[in-house]
Amino acid sequence: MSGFSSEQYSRLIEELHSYQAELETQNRQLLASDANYREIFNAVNDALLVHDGTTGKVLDVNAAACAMYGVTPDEARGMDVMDLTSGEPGYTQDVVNRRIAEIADVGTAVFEWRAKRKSGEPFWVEVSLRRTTIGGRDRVLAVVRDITERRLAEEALRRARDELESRVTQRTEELTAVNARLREEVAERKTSERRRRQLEADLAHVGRLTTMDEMAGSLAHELNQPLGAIVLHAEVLAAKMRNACSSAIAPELIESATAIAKQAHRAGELVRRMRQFAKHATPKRAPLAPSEAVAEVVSLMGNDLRDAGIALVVDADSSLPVVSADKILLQQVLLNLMRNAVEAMTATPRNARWLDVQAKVDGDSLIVAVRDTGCGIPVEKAGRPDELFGAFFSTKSDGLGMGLAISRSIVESHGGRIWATPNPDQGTTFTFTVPFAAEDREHESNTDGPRR
Amino acid sequence: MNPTPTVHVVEDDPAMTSALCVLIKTMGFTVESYASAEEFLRMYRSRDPECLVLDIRLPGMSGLELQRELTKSGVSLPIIFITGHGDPVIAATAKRQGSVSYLEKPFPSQTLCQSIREAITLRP
Repeated sequence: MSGFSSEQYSRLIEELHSYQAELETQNRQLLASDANYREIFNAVNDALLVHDGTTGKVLDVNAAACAMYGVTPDEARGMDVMDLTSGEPGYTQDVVNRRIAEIADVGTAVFEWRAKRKSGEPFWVEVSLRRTTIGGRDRVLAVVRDITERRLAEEALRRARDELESRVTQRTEELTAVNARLREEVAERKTSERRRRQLEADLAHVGRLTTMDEMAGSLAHELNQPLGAIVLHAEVLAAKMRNACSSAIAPELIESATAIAKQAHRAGELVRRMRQFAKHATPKRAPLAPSEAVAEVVSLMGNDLRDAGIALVVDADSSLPVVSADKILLQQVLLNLMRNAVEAMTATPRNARWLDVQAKVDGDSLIVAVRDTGCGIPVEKAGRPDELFGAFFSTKSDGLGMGLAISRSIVESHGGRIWATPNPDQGTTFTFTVPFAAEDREHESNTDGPRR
Repeated sequence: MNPTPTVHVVEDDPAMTSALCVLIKTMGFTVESYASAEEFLRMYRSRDPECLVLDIRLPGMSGLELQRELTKSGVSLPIIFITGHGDPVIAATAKRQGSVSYLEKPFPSQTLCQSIREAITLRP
């Protein structure tokens, strides 16, 4: 052995020992550092995955990642990104490639992702990607956070909002419908109000006409009787005087008697003209539903009945057969009878005021009865229908006495009859009939009556 | 020579009845008056010659109804209608049912006299 003295050799050995000790220290330090790093890596709550910057393969995962994906660290290492992705539309290899290409330029990316557990169950995550260099190699560090809860909350919120919206929409539709219905109702009410007013006007018009007719007719009859008598008496007187001994009688007396007859004729002519002026209207017959016609009059009387505290019972079935009649004229009759009934009950205690209106079929006629609990007809008149239904007969101090006369004229012009019966307990029932078949005797009864 | 003709008068107005009676008596005829159609039917006894002066509007049975009633029971009595309520339809009905005349009140006494004379000569 040459070259190395024992002194040199032992120094060499010493140095070697010193190197070895340093190396061991360094090695120990390195191991400690790696352990520290692992410790930190695993302590992070978020899942951490280290991918190969080129292939995208998983190189390392932390404990949170293993728990999240349901894999062991060994299973995870070497996995492809698609092994951890749901593969649903929008979450495919193409999209992964695009994401990786993106961070090549920008360095980082944050996005939501459909991940997949080992069991195959998909779940929502938020991914932060960062391109980095570890130990001189190109790596992609992925920080993955499970956002299932957040998505669920968002979903619930969205559903709640959608539901709210749909409820608002539905409610709006409901309100719109209600509004439309209301508008329809208002329109209907307006129409029925207009119809009601028209009916009122028609009835008032017919009432005036028939009253005038009846008055003219009745006046004519009442006046023509005495006029006829005056004419005959005066003419007999004049003739007798003319035939008597002419010297005994002054010619002025004959002239006077003749003048009386002439003036009576003149009055008769005036009466005739007045009658022509107010001609009896012939009924305009048309098919008519009794229940409807009754209901309309009842609705017209509504306020009067309420004001007078009268309880009304209407029995007019909609199944009643149609009758051919002049609606307005017949309604005029019913209105007259109902008004009379209301007035007849003025002295009746309020809790005993009843008005029954009944329409039914009786043989070949429609029969309408109006029954009140009023003061009734004075005994001395009850048995004299001709007087009761005659013109100018009234039990009311301010009555014209035309209502019943008009009613009888109208009913008879339809070929029907009208009469009054005292109720066994209290009040009166007025009844009239209208034959279902229009009768031919219409003209005769029209002009024949009213009898006195 | 014929006996004195009789004129039956059915009229409910007393003033009119009395005027008619005076006039007819003046003509020299016999007058029988009745206040209603029913009374006439109850009291009527046929005379010869005769005629009937009949008011159309009467309490109860009307003049036209009485006319029909008489025709039905075969009584051919010439009828002169008088009315205070002139109406062409009623006039036509009266004529159709065979009346001799139809007079509207007030009418001249001469017209009635003439109608009565005509009616009496019509007596078959």
